[in-house]
Amino acid sequence: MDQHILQINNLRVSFNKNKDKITVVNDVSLQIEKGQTVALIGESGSGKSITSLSVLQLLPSNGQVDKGSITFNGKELMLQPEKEMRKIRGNEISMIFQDAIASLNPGMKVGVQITEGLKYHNLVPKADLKAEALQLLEQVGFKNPVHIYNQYPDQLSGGMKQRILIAMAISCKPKLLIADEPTTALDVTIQRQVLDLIDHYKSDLDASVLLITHDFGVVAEYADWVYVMLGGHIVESADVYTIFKNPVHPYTKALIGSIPNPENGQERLKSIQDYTFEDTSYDGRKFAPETYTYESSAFHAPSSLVEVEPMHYVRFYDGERKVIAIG
Amino acid sequence: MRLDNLLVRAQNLSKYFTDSSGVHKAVDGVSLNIHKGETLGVVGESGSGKTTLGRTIMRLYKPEHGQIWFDGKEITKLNDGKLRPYRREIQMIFQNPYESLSPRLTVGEILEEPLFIQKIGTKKERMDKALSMLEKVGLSRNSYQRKIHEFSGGQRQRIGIARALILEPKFVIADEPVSALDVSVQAQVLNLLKDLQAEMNLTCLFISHDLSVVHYMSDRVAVMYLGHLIELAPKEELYRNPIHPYTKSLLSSIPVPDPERRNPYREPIILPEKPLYPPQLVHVGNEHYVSANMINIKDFEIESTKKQVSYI
Repeated sequence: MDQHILQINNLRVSFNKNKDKITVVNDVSLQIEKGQTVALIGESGSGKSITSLSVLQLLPSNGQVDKGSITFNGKELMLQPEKEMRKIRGNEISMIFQDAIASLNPGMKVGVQITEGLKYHNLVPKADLKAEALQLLEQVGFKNPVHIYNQYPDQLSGGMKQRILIAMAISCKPKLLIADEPTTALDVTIQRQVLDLIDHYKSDLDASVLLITHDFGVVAEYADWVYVMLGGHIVESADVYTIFKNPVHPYTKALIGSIPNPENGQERLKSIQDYTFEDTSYDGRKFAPETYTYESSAFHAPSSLVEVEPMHYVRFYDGERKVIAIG
Repeated sequence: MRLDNLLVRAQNLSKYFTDSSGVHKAVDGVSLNIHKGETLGVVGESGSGKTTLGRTIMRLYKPEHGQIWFDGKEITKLNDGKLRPYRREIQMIFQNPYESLSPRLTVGEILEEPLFIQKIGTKKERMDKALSMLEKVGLSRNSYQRKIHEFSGGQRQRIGIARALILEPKFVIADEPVSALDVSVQAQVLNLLKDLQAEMNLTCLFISHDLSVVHYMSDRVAVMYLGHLIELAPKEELYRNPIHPYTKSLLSSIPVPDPERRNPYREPIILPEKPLYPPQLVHVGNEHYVSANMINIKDFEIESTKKQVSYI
C-alpha cells in the first residue's frame, strides 16, 4: 500500500455560483504508484483539471473541497496549513500548465524565472543559481542555454516556452509531476519532444507523473494506468493495455473511436452520439451515466465503480440489476 | 493530368510580410493544383505558412509573385470589386468560431449577411435559406434567434460551417477547423464536413497541423515547411512512403492509439535548415512529388528497392 505516492479518496469539489452550489468533482478516487505515469482523460468540463488543482490546494476562491482525503507520501494534504503547502508546491509536487504564455512572467528573463523555485526552497546557494539554470536549460534540450537564459518569454516560440515551463517544474526534482494538457496547443513534433522530456525525467528520477489530457493517442504512448472522467465522475479505470483492448464503458469506447487513425482508413469516425444508444447495459448492469446530457436526472442516481475483470473498474448504477435487451 | 479538371491552380505563389526586422517569406514559390471535387490537405507546423497559403489562394492577401487561376480564370491581380463574384465561390471556415463570428449578431443575421452582401433573394427567401442551412449542419431551427455565446464550441463551429456554405461555394478553405475542439466533438464536426462535402460537391483545401485529421479528410496531402512546399502525394502514398526527412519526422511523431505498439526507437526528429531558394518539386512516381534539393534522387531509387518502409 505504501508505494502509492499519491492517493485521492472520495474527493468531492464544489463551486459556489450565485448562491448555488455546483458539484464539479464527485467521488473521485485515484492513486499513483511510484514511477508510474497515470493519465486522467476526459472532455473539457469533466473536472480533470479541478481534481489536479485540489491536490495542490490551488482551487479558485469560490471552489472548495467538501469531502475526501488526499494523501501524498503518507501525508494528509487536506490537513496541511498553507505554510506547509508552500513547502510542498514546486518542491515535492509540481505542475506544468497548459497555457505557457499565461504561466510565464513576461517581464522577467526566463533563466531567472526557472530558478525561482530553487531560490524559494533554498535548495541551491544563491551563487550557484545561474549555473543550475543553465544546466536545467540544457536538460530540456536547448543547445545554447546561455543565449536562452537572457531571453524574455515573448522572444520564444510556443514549444520553447513549454520547455521552459518543464525546466521550471523539474528544477526542485519533485517526486510528482502534474502535467495539465502540456501539449494541447503544440505541433506533433514538439508534442513528442515535450512528452519524451517528461518521460525521461520520470524514468531518471523514478518520479511519478499525473498526465491530464483529452487525447487517447498521447495516453497510448505514455501512460501506464488510465482514469476516464466524465461529468466529475471517474467512469472507467484500468491499465493502459486493458483499456485499449477491452473498453467497457460506452464513453471510453466513444473517446477511443473518435480518434482518426491513418492505419485503418475508416470511412466515418464514430462520435459520441453513435454510441449513446448502444451498450446500454453490461452483464445486466446499467452504465452510469447512460446519457451524455448533464441535465439528466439519471445522472445523479447513486452509482459506484464495479470491478468487471481483475483491476478493471467501470461505473454502474447501484440498485436493482435490470437487464435491457440489446438489438 | 487533365487541366480542364482543375478548379484551382497556383503557380510559383509567394507572399512576404515586412516588419522592422526585415522581410519574412511566409510563403515562397509554392505551386499546386486542386482538382474539382477533391480535398487537398495541407500539413505543417505553426509558422510553416499554411494559413498564409490558404489566404493568398483566396486572395485575402495580394501575392508578391506568382499567379492564381480559379476555374480557368486568373484572379491574381483583380481588385476588390472584381473579386466580389469570386468571393461567392470561395469561402473559408476559420479556426476559432468565437473570434470569427460576431457576438452581437443573432445566428440568423450571421447566416444571412453573406446573402445580403451578394444581393441574393428576398428577405423571406434569405430566412428560409438560413433555416434550411441550420438544419443541414444539425442545429435546431430555434438557433436562428440566438447569439453565439449561447452555443458550445462544437455548435459554434457548425455555425461557422453554415455561414461558409450558405452561398453554395465551389471551393472551401478550411483553416484548422477542429483544432480548438475536443476529440469527441472533433469527430462530429469532421463527419459533418465530410457529409456536406459529398452532398454539395465541394472542392476543399483542408489546413491542419494534425496529420491524423488530414489523413481522414483528404485525397492528396501537401507538406509545408518554413514557407516551402516540400512534398505532395496522394495520402496513402505519402503516409506509406514519405521521402523528405521532415515528412518522416512528422509522421513518426503521430501518437499511435495502441499501447501494444509503443516504439522507443522511432525516427529521430530532423528539422532541415531552410534553403535559400524555394525547392523544385520532382516527380518520383505514383503522383508523388518531393522537393529536389533535399534528396539525392539516385540514392532514393536504390534505397526504395531495398526496403519497404511504413510509418502507419
